[in-house]
Amino acid sequence: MSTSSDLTLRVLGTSVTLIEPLRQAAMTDLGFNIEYQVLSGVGAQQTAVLSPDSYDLYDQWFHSVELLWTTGAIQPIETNLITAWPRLSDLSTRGFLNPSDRQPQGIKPTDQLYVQPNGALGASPTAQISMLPTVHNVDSFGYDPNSRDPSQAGVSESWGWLFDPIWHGKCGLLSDPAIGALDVALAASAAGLIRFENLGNLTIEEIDALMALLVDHKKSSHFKHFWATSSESEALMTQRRTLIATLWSPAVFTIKSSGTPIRNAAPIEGYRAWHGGMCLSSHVDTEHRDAAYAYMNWWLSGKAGAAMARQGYYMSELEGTRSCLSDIEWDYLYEGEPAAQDLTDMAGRTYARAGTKRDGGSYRRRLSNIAVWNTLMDEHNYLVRRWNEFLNS
Amino acid sequence: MMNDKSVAARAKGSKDEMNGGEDNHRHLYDAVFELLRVRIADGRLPDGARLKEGPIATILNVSRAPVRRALVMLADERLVCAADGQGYIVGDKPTAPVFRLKDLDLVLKPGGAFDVGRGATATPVITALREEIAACLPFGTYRLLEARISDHFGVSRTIVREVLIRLLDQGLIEKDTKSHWIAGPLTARSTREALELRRLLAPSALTSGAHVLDRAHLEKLAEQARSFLAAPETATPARVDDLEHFMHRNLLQNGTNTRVTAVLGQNLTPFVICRAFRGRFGTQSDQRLLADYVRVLDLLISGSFEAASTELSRHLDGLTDQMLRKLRVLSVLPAPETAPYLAMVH
Repeated sequence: MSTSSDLTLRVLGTSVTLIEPLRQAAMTDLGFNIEYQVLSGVGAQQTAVLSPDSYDLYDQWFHSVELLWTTGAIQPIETNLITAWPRLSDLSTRGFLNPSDRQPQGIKPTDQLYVQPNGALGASPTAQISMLPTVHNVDSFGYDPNSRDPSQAGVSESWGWLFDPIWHGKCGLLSDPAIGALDVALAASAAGLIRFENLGNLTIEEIDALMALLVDHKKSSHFKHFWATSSESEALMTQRRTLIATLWSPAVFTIKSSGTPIRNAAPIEGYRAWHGGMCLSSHVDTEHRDAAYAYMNWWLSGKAGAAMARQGYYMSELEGTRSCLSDIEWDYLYEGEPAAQDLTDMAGRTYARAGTKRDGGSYRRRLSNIAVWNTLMDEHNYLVRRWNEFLNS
Repeated sequence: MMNDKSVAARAKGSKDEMNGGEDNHRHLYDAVFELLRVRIADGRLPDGARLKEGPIATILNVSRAPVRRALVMLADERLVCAADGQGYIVGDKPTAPVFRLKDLDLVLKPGGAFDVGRGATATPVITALREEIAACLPFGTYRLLEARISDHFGVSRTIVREVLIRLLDQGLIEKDTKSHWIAGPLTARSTREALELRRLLAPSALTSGAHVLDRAHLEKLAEQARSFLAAPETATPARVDDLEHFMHRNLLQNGTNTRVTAVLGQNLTPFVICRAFRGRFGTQSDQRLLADYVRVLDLLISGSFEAASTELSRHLDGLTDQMLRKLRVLSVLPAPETAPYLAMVH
C-alpha cells in the first residue's frame, strides 16, 4: 500500500475516540492528513447513512453497524489486511473471554461482525468483517460513596439504586435513547419495579411500562438531570447537582482527578457493555482505501490503545497497547492491581492515586460480568419515540 | 364502503329533494365516477379490467345513464378507454386478453360504509391523506386534526369525518381512548404480524386467482423487473414502488375467497417502510426483492401456479427481517416535515 502526503483521510465519529492528540500522532506516523468529523452518536449515525460519500472511515459503536450495512454505506473489511487481526481479544472476535462467563442479553458485537456468503452479517467467522473491533468497555453508574446510607455499607452495588429515594433529585441519566433506556431498564429490573423478558429486546408493553415509570419519576423530580456528553456528566457530579449518575469511564476518571468523591459501581446484576470499531465507506477510492487500512492498522498498534486505556477504555489488541503503557499503568488499568504510583492522563491530570485500585477490578473480571450489550432492539423505532416523549414530559 | 341500498336511497332522496331527474343523474354520475376512479387508483380495478354499463348499473342499483356518463368522464381523464363496443377497459390503451373481473360486485362493494354520493369531495382528501400518512408513519405517532384537515382542503367537517372513517376501514389510522384520530406507531410487532398474516393468506389467494391473470401483463412486468436488475440505475423508487404494489395487491385480488382478498387489500401498511426507505436511500437494497419478483412472475407465466405461490411464500418469509432492519434505520433519521393537519404525538 502507498499513500501520498497530500491525501486527506476523513474519519467520522464521536468524541469517544476522535481526540486531537491521536489525530496529530497518526498524521505524524502515517504521513498523510487526517480530518476528524466529530458528532453526537445519533448525529454520526445519521451522517453515516445519509452521506456515505462524506467520510472514508466511520468510527463508532457496533450496535450501529447494521444501519450502515443495510443502507449500503459501507463495504467489507478484509481481515488479511489487518496486521493485528490474529492477536485480537477473544471478546472482540468470538464474543466472550471465557465460555463460562455470565451470558449477556442483547446482540453481541460478534453477531454482526462477519460478512456471510449470502451478504448478511453473522457470527460465523469469515475473512471479511463489517467493522474492525477496537475500543470497548463496560458501563454502569457512579456515585458519591459518602452519600450512601451508612447502614447499607455491606450491601452489593445495584442498578436499582438509580430509583432509590435516598438520591431523590440527585440522579443523573444519559439522554441517548438506545443506551440511556437500557440503563434505566436495568435499574427498573434490579429495583423489582418491572420484569423484562429480555432486556436486549424490549416489547411494546415493556417499553410502555418503563416509560410510564420514568415519566412518574421525572414529574416527581426524582430524575431531574440528563446529560448528552461526558463533560456534561462530569459537571453535574463535580458541581454536586447529582450524587449518582450513569457515567462513562472518562467521566469517572476526570471526576476522580478533580478530587470529587466518586465510585464507579460494579453492579451485582452486571454491566452494560459496548464495543466500538471502524467501518470502511463504500465510496472510497483505492488510494483512500489504502490510507484507511493504514490508519486502522495504526490504531491497533499501541499508541491509540494506550491513550484509550488512560481514559478507562480497553482495546481489542492487547500486546501493542501494553507496549505503549508502563507496567504500573497496565497493572492498574488492565489487571486491577493497586497503582504503584499516581497515574496521569494525556492532559496531565491524576486519574489514580498511588495505592488505589480500579473500581470493578481487572479487564477479565469486568468484561466477564456483562448483563447486556448495547443493542438496537426490534422496537427501537418505538423506543426512541417514547423515550423522547419521556425527555420532554 | 358502499351498499346498494344507500345508493338507491340516495337516488330516491335526491329525486324528492331536487324535483328533477337531471339533478339526480348529475349527482349519481359524479358518485359513480368517483367510486370507479378510487377503485382504479387503489388498483382493485387493474389495467385491462373490462367495465360495462349494465353490470355496474346492476351492482350499484342505479340506472345505466349515470354509469354511462361516469365511464365517459373516466375516458376523458384517460383512466379507461373504449373497447370496440364492449364497454371500457381500465388503462389508456386496449390490451388483450383483458382481465376478467368475475367479482366486480365485490370490488365495488368491499364491505363497509362507502357513500358514493359524497365521494366527489372526499376522494382527493383521502388520496392526499393516505400519501401523507404513509410518508410519516415510520417516523412516529401522529394525531390527525379534524379542523385543520377541514381548513387545509376546504371541505366540511362531515366530509373530513367520512374520510377518516374510510381510512379507519383501511387500517391506516385508529381512534385512541380519547377519541383522537391516530396514525401509527408503526412497530416491529405490527409489521411482523401484518407480514405473518400475508404469509398465511397471500399464497392461497395467488393460487386460486392465478388462472385469470393477464399473461401479457405479467410478461411485461417480469421484463421490467429483469431490466431493473440488469440496469439498477433505471429502477427508480417510484417504479419499484409500483411493481411492489402490483405484486402484493393486484396480483392477489382475483383470489376466490373474497374475505381473504379484502383482508390482504387492507393489510399493506408495512410496505410504507419500503417506500420510505427507497425515498431516502434509493433502490440499491431491492435487488433480492426484484429477483424474487422475477421468479414469482416467471412461474405464473409458465402456468406453475403452486410453485409461484411457494415462491411468494418464501419471499414473504425473508421480507420480515428486511423490513425490520429498514425500520431500525428509519428510526435514527429525522422525521420528515408533515402537513399542518398532522401533529406528532411521539
